[in-house]
Amino acid sequence: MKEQSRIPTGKVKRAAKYVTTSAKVSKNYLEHYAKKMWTGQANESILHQKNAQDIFDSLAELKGSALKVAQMLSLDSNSLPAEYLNKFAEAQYSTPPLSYPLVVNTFKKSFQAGPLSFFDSFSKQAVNAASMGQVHKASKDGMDLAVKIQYPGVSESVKSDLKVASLVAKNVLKLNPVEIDHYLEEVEERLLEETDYTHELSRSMELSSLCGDLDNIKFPQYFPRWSSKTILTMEWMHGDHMGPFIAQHPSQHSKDRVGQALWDFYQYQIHELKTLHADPHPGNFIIQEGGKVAIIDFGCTKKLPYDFYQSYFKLLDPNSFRVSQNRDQLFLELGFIHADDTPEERKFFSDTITETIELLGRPFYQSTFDFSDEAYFKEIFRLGERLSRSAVLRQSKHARGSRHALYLNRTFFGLYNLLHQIQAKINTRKYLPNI
Amino acid sequence: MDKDKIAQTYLNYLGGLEKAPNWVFRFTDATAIDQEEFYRHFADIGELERWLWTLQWEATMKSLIAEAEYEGYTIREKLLAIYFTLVQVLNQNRHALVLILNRWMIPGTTPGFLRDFKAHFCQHIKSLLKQGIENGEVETRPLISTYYTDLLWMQCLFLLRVWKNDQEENQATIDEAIERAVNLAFDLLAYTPVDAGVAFTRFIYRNKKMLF
Repeated sequence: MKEQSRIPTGKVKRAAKYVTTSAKVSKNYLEHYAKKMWTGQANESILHQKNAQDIFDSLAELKGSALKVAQMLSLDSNSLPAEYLNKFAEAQYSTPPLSYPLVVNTFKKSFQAGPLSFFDSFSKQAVNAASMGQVHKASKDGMDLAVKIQYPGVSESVKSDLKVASLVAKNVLKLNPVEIDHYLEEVEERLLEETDYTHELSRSMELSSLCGDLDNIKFPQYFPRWSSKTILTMEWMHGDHMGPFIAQHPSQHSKDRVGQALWDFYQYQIHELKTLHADPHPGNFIIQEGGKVAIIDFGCTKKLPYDFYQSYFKLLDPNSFRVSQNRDQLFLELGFIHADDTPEERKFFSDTITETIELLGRPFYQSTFDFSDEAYFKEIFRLGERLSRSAVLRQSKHARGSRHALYLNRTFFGLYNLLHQIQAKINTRKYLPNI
Repeated sequence: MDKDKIAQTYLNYLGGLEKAPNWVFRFTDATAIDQEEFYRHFADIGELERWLWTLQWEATMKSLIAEAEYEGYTIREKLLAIYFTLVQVLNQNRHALVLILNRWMIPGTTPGFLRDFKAHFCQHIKSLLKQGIENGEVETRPLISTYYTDLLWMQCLFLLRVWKNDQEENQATIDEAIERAVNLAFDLLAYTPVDAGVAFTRFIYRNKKMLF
């Protein structure tokens, strides 16, 4: 990479930087196509590499948030990239809402007729953005429906974004290609699943029937006859989103009930079903009258392989944990430490991971846990801060942790955060790891 | 045998070919159409293909008018609907129409077989733009306004090429192309910051004395 003399600061300079980067990328494309025209063949991967290099060069020059994004890819491959890559994919695909003619066209492609030939009413404008699509409100025979329409071309855009991300990681950040692929594969799998609404439909129906008996949890009814790869129709859930619910200052009793419902929902999926809704984003829950929680988005689900489940939850068992040998064995199994680590690295990672696990596992060690505890969340936050500044972590050539942990960790983080926002007290013992 | 019947026969005939023919006799021989009959309606293959594209336009208009919601659309939505419907119509004879489009070598030029199609398209666009100017969706600008129709025709040519090359099963690319191209065009046709800039510059020029 080129030596860098100074960091451009002013807004104009930063903007100019983006312009020159785009110019460079365009130049790469021109070169590519010129070459293709002359010789009839040109290597696509060289093109992508060049682009990645130019993009990264200017990111590095901008420092600040831009570079952080690239770093997250390499450093926090354990919990953050999924988050970040989702953001990335969304940002790349940030669009004005789809036009109504396109919505009609999508309907015609799936069902040979426009929406009004199926529904009594159909909102011309989108009422909400959804993962990789938008939601329209419709009604049929007095029932309100939510109809999700996918952006056209979104799966292609996910794939090309991930390609760029992986090239930046491999060629520019010089990360181990095998390991990066290993994470990106996982992310791509999940993201591509999200782009297929038939998959979401079957998962949603399956999970909602399996979780149907849980207290205070409700699922919308799904309508396969009005759903396809790009359209998903479900019952419209009336109620409040998380934000407005909290803003109404509900009683501690109702907060606990909502929190407990969420906790049980996730623990039941993880320990009994070993398949989970891996997206505890506040927008995916609706609090209904009477304190029931409706779960509305099953775009992202993750199946936990048996072996992974076993070793992951052994970590949370205080007994197996105290014996240091046991511990290292488990860490090896889960890919937190690697056979070729230096002794310092091994010590650093063992200690850090132990600390992390103690912290994240704390709710499990007690029969009730109060998630409104500020001190606990400050501790988590401080640990995160410290890790993001750690030099050992930065220089590590390995990605740490199992690919399956990516979404499980994200789920735990998300759930804890949610419960903290609600300020709920939780009985943690209803569903326990069975190993 | 009338014009439309010959056109339909030609479409079916192309459906089984790899390349569109240049000579009338290849077509008439293969389909047992009387050459004299052919020449009574068309001077050559080019004219037949021109007629075929006119038919595509007419079918598009017919199916648009049948849509109850079309009348209530804004101009932007109308243009979107035209393209989406056109693609649906073209898809019914995709293979044959792509063979004809393959004759079109240079992007940005109007191939002979699209001449009448272009006339119909531009005529329709003109009336849409007029409505757009009346309801404020489209901004008139000195000098540039006269080229609006040509610019939208270029857009149509671009979309036809994308359609020709979009071989994916669900044709997401062409849908995205239509959506983005039309939105861009109408964002530019509407009142933009540049218009405000021009107005301001003219004001400053008229009142330059105020500055000194």
